[in-house]
Amino acid sequence: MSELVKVKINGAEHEVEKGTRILDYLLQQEMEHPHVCYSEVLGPIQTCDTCMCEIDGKIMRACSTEIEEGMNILTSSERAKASQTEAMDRILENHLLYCTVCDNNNGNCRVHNTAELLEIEHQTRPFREKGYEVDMSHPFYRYDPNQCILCGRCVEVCQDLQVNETLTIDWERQMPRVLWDNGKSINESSCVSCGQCATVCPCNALMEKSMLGEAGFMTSMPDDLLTPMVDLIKAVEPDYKTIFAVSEVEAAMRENRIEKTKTVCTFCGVGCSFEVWTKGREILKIEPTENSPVNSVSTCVKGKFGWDFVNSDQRLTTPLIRKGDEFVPSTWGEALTLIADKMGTIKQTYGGSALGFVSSSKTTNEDSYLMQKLARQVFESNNIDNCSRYCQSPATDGLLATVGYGGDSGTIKDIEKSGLVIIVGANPTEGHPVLATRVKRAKKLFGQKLIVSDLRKHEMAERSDLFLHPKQGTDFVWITAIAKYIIDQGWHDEKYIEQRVNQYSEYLNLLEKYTLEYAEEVTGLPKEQLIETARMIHEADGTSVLWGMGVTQNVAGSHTSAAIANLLLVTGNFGRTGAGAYPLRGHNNVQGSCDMGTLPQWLPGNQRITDDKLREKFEQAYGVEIASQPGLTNIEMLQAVEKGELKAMYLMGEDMAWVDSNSNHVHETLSKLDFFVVQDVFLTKTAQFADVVLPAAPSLEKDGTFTNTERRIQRLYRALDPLGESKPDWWIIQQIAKYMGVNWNYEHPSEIMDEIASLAPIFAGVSYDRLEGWDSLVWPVQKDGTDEPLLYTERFNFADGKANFSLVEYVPPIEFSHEFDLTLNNGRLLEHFHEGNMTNKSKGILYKLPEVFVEVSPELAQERGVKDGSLVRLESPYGAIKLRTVVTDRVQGKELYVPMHSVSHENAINLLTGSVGDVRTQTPAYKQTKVKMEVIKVKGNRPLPLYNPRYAIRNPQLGVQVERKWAREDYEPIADVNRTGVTN
Amino acid sequence: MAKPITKIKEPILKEEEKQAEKLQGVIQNLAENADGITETIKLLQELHESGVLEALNSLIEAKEKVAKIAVGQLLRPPVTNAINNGMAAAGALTELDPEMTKKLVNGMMRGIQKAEQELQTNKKIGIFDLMKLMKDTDVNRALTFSLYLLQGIGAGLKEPSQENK
Repeated sequence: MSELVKVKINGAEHEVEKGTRILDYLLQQEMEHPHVCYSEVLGPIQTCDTCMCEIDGKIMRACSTEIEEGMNILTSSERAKASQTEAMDRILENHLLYCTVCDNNNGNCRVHNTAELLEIEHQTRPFREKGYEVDMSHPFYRYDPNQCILCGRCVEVCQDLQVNETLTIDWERQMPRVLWDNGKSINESSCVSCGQCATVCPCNALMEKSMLGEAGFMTSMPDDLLTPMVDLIKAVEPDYKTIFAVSEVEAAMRENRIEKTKTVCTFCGVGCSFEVWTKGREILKIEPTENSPVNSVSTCVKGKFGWDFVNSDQRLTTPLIRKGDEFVPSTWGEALTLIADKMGTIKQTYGGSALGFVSSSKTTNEDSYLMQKLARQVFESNNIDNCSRYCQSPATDGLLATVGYGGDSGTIKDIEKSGLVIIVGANPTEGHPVLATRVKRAKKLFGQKLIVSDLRKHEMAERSDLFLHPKQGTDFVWITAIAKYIIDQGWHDEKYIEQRVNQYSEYLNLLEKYTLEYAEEVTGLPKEQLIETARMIHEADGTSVLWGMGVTQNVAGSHTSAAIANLLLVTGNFGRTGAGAYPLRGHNNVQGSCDMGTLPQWLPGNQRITDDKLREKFEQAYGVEIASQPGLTNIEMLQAVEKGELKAMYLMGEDMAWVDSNSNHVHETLSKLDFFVVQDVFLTKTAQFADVVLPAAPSLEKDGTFTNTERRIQRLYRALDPLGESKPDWWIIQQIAKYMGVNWNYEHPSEIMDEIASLAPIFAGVSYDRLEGWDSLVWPVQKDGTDEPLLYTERFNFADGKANFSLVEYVPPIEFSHEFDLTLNNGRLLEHFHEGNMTNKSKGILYKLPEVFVEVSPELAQERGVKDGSLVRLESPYGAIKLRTVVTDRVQGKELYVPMHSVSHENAINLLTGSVGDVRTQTPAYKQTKVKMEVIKVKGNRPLPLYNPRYAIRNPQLGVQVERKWAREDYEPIADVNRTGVTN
Repeated sequence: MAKPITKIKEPILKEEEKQAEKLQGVIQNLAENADGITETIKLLQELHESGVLEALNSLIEAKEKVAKIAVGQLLRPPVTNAINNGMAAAGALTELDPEMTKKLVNGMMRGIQKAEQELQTNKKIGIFDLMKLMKDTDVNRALTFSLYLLQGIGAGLKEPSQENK
């Protein structure tokens, strides 16, 4: 695309694309060249100085110098070598090479490897300590200033990639070091424990505590032995080649006992992939790499540190059978025989429709596929649903109606490239942390604009250019009013609409009543803000809308989702890069579990069950007749239990008892089942109602694939053997089929994927071979393996290739009687996942966020005499809970916020939510809950510890600011040219 | 009516079953490697009878203490000096031309022999004898060598040591 220039590198002619960084080119050509601080993701940081080259006689950095015509580049001339060695010498003044007894000696230590590459034998500047204590305050990682080489990679990721803006380097003090919030302990700082600093640290200065004393053969020795040993090495002064040789032998030994397995995160829909390092059953650390297609080196606290649940002593390790008032451990044979007997009898007596199946959005595609196959083939029931019913069904519905695919229209790259991002009813810094970092980065570095519409002023709202605070449940109105205003102003894409969208005139009719005045009245948003929003969309080079449960969990979340698609169609924001619709899928496999047909009206591959031809294909493959009538949703299943029509349920990997709305009612209904099977990792509340509990293996203990919010399919590999008698879900489901007399004979999940590919056209080209390692595919995938990261570039997914304006109307929120005077918002916090069954097994996470609480606005606190830590009782028409308060301006007026991470009868949020659901998909209107508040005790302990990052203030700056290092009086430049302001 | 229950009956038998299973695996392993194991048992018995095993066990049990003592000993300046001297000498030796060393050693041997002989005669040497000896080609060669050796050592002493570089 750009012009080629001729350069000489070490005497040889090369043709290179102009503007390529020298270091990038050298690495591309696999020419070894020293470098410590540089990374493809972060760009040239320019602190380590080890990549110096001689360019046309001048000493310059390979990382920040772009290739130009006629350059004569010498990478290892005498002068270049001398500069590189000098740079390394300065690094070693800051870093003691005790590699053999260092936990970072795993073959990937950049300082070690670069020193070795430079053939360093001795150093001229002796090592000296910096005079600071090691900071061990944080539960998950530590900082050792005395080993820190001040490369600033940690600061770069914290400031400009994670954009949490906690870390800086104080270049001006006598002895510079990395600081947290300008000098607080790590634990008391604004650090959100994403762990990226530890991931990118090129040595052992920042390390995961789980690695300390565990990774090496000799690293667990106590300090009073280690220090003398290090002293001995110093006193004896062998040359470094000897040190390196010994440490490499030790590193090679480690490789034998530390397994590194690629996996995909299970804590949200972003789909981060990384290696998990294990030693026996112990998880040493999570190591993301630049190869990960979605997250690169990024993670959040859960993905990086939240895996304790896998080795929890509360794991189920054997099947359990209810006998009297206790569960009795059983063999697999006993449990499976009982299930086949009971469910088989019910099927024979009442037919398949008396059985219900609930699949999980956390299990793999293969697990999900088999679950629907079990329901439809073995038990001949279409009563199969999954927990996306509780969250994302309305978004899918809105997109299916308008553009034709129920999924994100592009990838995280498109979100990054958008000129404007609008977030509606979602809190991605906490719910989808790594995805949020890309928006924060684009805003901070590349001028992306951000509008946030939410009840709560969360971090993204704080950072936004425009924060909209509409009345609860009224998003449909302002979104539609803006579409109308844009058309009225002539800012719409007339040609795009004409060529690509149906029902425009009908849509114009619908718009008529959605004037700015009407919107202002219904939503409470001032007209000026609405006009400003419209103008920003008009001026942006590409608009992406991200939305979540704040939209979907309402009585007409599906309508609002369709309204969002309408707005994007009006402005031509589908089918181009840097634009589109992004419903943020909450769990790791919400997208996949729906794609796999664990839905009452859909067959695998998003094929309608009502379509005779499509159904026939499956009937042939399964050798049974499949009813054309869609089955029951989760919600309808429970209703059918109440009516006595549904006799038995088989549920996999969901804590329905706490996750469905109106828990009291759900508990009552579950106890009415004739027979109930629950398959899970823990004895959840739901499992406590079961007749048979089957122990399942979590993601780290199985092979399979997940499909993330982008529609990206990624493989996970078994990192650990299943604990005890627990088994992968696909294995369990296959056994049930077998005991029912149907032999599937899958030996590996890859065979299940082959079957999926043969039946679901959007998966046609998907195979385990194509998903090897870090490779991934974004569906639809054609037979030849071509995938489609960006949808709708040529056609929308309808027979005529055109999109449709949705013509649905606004449905106002549920009315409550006056005594329930407070709006109860609810959702996630960063630290925990879902109801908390997994993350509440992590000591470190519980330390940072021990319990749920209710956020109360300062105004309301004053009015009701409530303080931080007061104990209050919240009561809705459906139930009551008791919890402590946090007074914060994240919420305003009469709006409260309660996190959902509780499995306690005291304070689980769904004891308060009601049973009314979305008009099209029945997704419960969790967000439309009103309560009254009674103060039980004013004085009490703060539920949120003071060392939780929410209390701290961030310290934003651009990158590590190497210019300040260069400005130091004692800095002697190595390069002849120091170029400031080089960013990536 | 299925009430939620949290009580799980302890799988008492389970533990024994597990043990039996593990034992079965070990027995199988033993059978497959019978010869090697029999030899090893013999060796162990010998070691036990001679008390070596007990000593080794104690040493390993006290490994941290022992290591601390060993490292402590190694850290004493005489020892680190010795290690450093040894390493420096070893380093210097690697740079010498072996042929020259051979010549030098030969020369030394012969010189010592000759000196020994002359000493036996108990003869006094005067200035004149000294002048005469300097003209002797063998003595002259040795003198030239010694003078230049002195010059080399002097130059070596002038250079700053590694540590202060």
